[in-house]
Amino acid sequence: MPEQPNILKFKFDVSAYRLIGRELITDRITALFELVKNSYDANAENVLVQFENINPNTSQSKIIIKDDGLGMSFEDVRDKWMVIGTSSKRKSRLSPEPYNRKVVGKKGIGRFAVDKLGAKLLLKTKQKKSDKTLFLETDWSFYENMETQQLKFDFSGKHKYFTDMENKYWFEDTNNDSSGTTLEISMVNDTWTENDVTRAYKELSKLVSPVHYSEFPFRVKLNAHEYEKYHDKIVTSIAIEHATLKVELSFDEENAAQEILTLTPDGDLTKTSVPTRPCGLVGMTLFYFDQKAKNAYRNAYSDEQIDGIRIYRDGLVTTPFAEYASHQDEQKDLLGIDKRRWSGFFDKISSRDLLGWVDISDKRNPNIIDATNRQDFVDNESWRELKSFIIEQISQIEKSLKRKKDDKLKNHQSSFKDAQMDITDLRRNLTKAKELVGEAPDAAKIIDDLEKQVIKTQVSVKKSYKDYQDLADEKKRQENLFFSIVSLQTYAGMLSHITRTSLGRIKRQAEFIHKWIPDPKFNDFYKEYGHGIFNEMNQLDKAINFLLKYAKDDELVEDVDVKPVIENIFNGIYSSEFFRRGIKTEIIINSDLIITYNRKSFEDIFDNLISNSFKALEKVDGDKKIKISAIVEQDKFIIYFSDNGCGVREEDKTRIFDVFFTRTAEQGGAGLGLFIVKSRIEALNGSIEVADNEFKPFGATFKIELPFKR
Amino acid sequence: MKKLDTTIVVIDDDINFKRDPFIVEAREFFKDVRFFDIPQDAIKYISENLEKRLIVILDLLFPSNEPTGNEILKTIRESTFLIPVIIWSGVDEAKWSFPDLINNNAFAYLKKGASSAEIIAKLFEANTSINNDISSALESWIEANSEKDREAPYMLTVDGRTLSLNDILNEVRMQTPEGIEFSKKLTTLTIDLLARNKESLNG
Repeated sequence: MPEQPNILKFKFDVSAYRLIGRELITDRITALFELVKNSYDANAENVLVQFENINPNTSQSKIIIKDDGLGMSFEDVRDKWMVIGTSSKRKSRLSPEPYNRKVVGKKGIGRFAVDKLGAKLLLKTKQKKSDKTLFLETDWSFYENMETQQLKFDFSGKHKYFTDMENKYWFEDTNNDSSGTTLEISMVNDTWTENDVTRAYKELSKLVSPVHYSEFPFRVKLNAHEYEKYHDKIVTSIAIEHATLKVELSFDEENAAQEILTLTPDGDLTKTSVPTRPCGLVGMTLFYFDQKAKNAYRNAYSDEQIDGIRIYRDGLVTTPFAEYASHQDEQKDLLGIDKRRWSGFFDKISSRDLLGWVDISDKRNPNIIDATNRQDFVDNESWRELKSFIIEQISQIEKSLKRKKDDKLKNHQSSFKDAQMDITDLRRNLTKAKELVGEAPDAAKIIDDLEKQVIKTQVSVKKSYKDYQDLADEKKRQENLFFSIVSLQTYAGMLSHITRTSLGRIKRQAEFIHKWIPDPKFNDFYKEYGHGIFNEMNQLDKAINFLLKYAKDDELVEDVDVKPVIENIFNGIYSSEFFRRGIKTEIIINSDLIITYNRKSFEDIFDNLISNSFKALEKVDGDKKIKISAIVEQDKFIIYFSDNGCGVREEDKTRIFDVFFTRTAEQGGAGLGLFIVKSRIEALNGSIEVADNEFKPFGATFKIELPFKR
Repeated sequence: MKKLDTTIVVIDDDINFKRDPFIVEAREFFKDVRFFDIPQDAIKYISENLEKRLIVILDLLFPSNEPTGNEILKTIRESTFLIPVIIWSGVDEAKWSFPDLINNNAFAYLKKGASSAEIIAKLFEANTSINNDISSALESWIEANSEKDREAPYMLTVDGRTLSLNDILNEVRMQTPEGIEFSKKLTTLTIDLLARNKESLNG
């Protein structure tokens, strides 16, 4: 007969707390970080982190974390704090009304962080409606002793388990309506040197956003009386006093308007309101440091680095940016700021020239989600759009900086010229003075000497100016050369990619025909692949011609008359194609410009722009139009190239010139055309950008600026 | 010829590959061949079809706003190590980073210039590797159980954790030490049973 089954239950060994606390929370800074996060989740507005007598470490040493959050009831302490693995946070993603903070603490283990800091904890907590404060004492050292003893002796049967440990609690009357929780940690594990406190401060300063748009602030104060620097120190993000440039972008929730950076005609940065981007409304504060500013910053904050842009949600740093990396090189380039290797090489800002914070919120940006591994964000459209929004703002700053640099150079040149003029004036005045002085021999002698000196100075200024100009020209030549080499390299890389892809395709198509013909089930494919091979060959031919043309760039520089060249492209080369596609064209060029450049390369610019328009116009039903107009403005020849096709998406405006960026892959776009246009124009020291479209409401307009000397 | 019950997933931003001969030919041998030009769609498809026999062909270079092949492989490996992923690319090998592809267990590397015969041969190799891989066999076996059975506690580990079949499946897919250990032990057990004539391989 079967016996009545007996029952066995699981028990936790005393060492379990160590597994949970010490294994999950790797260092004491993280422990502190986790405890402060708990305060955030409890709707605290103020947290005080206090170190008492922590150097040297004695029995008097204490770490106190005090907040003015919701506090806990007896039931909370009994059923939540004291129960391992529970986390009310798991049930609700948001902290209680009206704060609705996105819960950030790790799942139910924050309380074990205490063990990393010290052996004994006195927890004091009070809720607003209660007139009593609850005290709970936990002595981890006692647990530890138990553990050590258990290792030594055999307790057969008398084994005490983790759950048998007793923790004292009591109530004390408190007659006010305050609320909050205080963790008083004594029997501190380690000495906290000034460096350790600084590291804690530094980490905590990354936790709180320097600016954020929530009505409920979250402030952290740090106190370590041993160290002068940390007397009631408010934890703020590092004060930015040395930045070269500061940019603040905001948004208008009511009108769903987002501020973005744009450039004025003078190259100054300005803010423009645009409709909400697909990532949702964001606030952004950005500081740019040039070399001089970086040095100043380093001198002021020797222990702080300029290390890029972080994202904060509802005033608190998002987890992928909160993971502690001891060395800057280990930090990941989550936003792809340093990854932009394809889009050009000069005048690019790196994340080490930038400090910034992007403010998002659960409400405004619900689809920006921290990945479960805490290292990244979930890769979705919103996250990608947020990245490209940030990069877009950075590239506007880059453009503005480049303009300023160019302007500065021009100013130098003109002040040189002014100096020359001044000297000429001086000479003229001296001649006049000589006439006035007349026969007075002493005075005439002095003036003669002066005149000689002035002539000498005039000669050396003239010579210096010439040297300066030669140097500037030489530098420009070198830059151009460097530019064409770099873009040639990029192009060579591209070409090998394209060739390999194309040859593979030809090979497989020929292979297919060879293998299966005359099996009738593939009849359609034989035709398609025959045509495919022909097309691929043409593509290859084009690519190789282009490379050859590139190689000849330096040989065949000639004077190119811009107006007839453009007219020839429109009215000659492409006229039958325009007709076939039903596209009406308009050319308005009243002035002319002669540039010294390779004619084919110049034609390339328009070849590519036209082929780009063809793709954009393909799906247009009504009138199809391409218009080109040119005007002269000061020392610039400005060309507007417009079509009324599908246009450029707002968020693509800055990346449309990147190599391999395409929205027309289905129409054979490889993301090369506009890249080539941009490189060509930059080789002429010019610039191209997407301008306000001429044919509203649809279409795109490109503005090309070519500088010239009168 | 009966087609193999394996789905081929091709991920390449160049839409022209959709009708490439190797894809047409692969359809002659494999039940399903799918082409994705948007990596996110492919990742979604893979994560929703982990129970199928899948082989992935993955390009490396995508437009600058998309993840690279390396990143896509990493994402796939976040949910399983059991799908063979064949890298296929025209990049300049000297300038590309490969260590993480190897660490993330890429099955093979093919150049974009490869012939259909080479590609199909690689697909067959990958298919065989699925057949021979004890972990994949284990995966198929677990997948064959009902969802209810898979959720139920199945075994107790030495350190006192209860694991359901789904937990085991996850460990095996992620090739965690536990997952590998489990597969290894199962192989040992099978060999042991076979050696002692307790079981036979029929059926």
